[in-house]
Amino acid sequence: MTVAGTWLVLGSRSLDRSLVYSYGPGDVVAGRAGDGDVRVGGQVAPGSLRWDPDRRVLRFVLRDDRASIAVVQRGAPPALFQAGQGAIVEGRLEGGILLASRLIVRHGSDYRPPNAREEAG
Amino acid sequence: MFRLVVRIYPGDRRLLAAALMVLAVGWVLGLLWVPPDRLQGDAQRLMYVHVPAAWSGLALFTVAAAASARHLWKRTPASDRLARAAIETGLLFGVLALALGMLWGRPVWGVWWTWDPRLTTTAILLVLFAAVLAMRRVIDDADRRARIAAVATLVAFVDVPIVHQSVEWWQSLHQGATVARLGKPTIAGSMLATLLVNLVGVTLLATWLVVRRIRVARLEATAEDRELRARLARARPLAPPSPARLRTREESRV
Repeated sequence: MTVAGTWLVLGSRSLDRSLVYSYGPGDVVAGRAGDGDVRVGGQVAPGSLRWDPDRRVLRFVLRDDRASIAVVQRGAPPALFQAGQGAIVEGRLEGGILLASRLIVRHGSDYRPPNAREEAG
Repeated sequence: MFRLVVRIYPGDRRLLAAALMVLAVGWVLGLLWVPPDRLQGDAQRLMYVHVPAAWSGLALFTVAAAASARHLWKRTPASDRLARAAIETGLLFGVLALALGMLWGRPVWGVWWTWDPRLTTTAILLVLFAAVLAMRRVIDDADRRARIAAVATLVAFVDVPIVHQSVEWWQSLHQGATVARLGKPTIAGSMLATLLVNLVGVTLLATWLVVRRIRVARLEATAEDRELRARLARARPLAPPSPARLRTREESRV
């Protein structure tokens, strides 16, 4: 009984925003992520990645199925960071732009050898 | 080959022999045979140890919960011993899964640790079961200890399905399920085969550890019993013992 009850309570709390690890760009645009420090997870929009080696500034667009936001970071991206992949950005929202302090590369749950043909996964 | 391994580990260690053989095959497959992942490279090979460790941890905590429920129902010492052995072994593999996960996370995510739902709920899970073991050590009476530990185990177990579902319920950094999902697994056949061999190997190893731990616990119980009986035998000629005399006996021994 107790076990089932606790499980139910925690299960229903999964919908609670207070337990959120990261927001999507859609949440940010809708104002659900609040101001200041946020963690936003999404996909790096293909073709949006711009690395300026002279000023060491990285720019890209992070998007989900609802919206997209511009991200700016000082410093080089992590080794496996690339367009079209998932990413989680920690930083500050200023004027609709996300100033990243940390980039985390998010990997999907599909695993393929390098020479395998692309499959919709 | 099997005979040889059994001979190196004499006795009836067939389980261990089987585990080591399957693991040897699994590691050769994982390190040499299977190709690296096209995105993550060789770091992805950590999957062949991280996933089996995590699976064994969660499976053992489930076994512990089942044994605890049985203990509350039947009150047998055997179910208490199984619960304890499963928790201890589960903690071993849980910590291993966490450590290997960190080693995997650093190169492919860019961070050793982050408070992602999967990572957070797993850390909570290990703390909860460590607390169950700690609780066992402070209760002297065996029956009471077994009963309270069984209840605590069931409470801690609540987190197991949460850990499992965390990647589905919340936006997480940790990837979702690969093998245990509806439809086709999103993994190349050679990688899936390697993973399954390692999964079997680690599961066998975990089972062996639990069996050994139960045997040790049984020996401990027998030794305690024997000591108790020896004390009773020494006390018998004095029957009926007066409290004062008992006290002097205890004091003279110290």
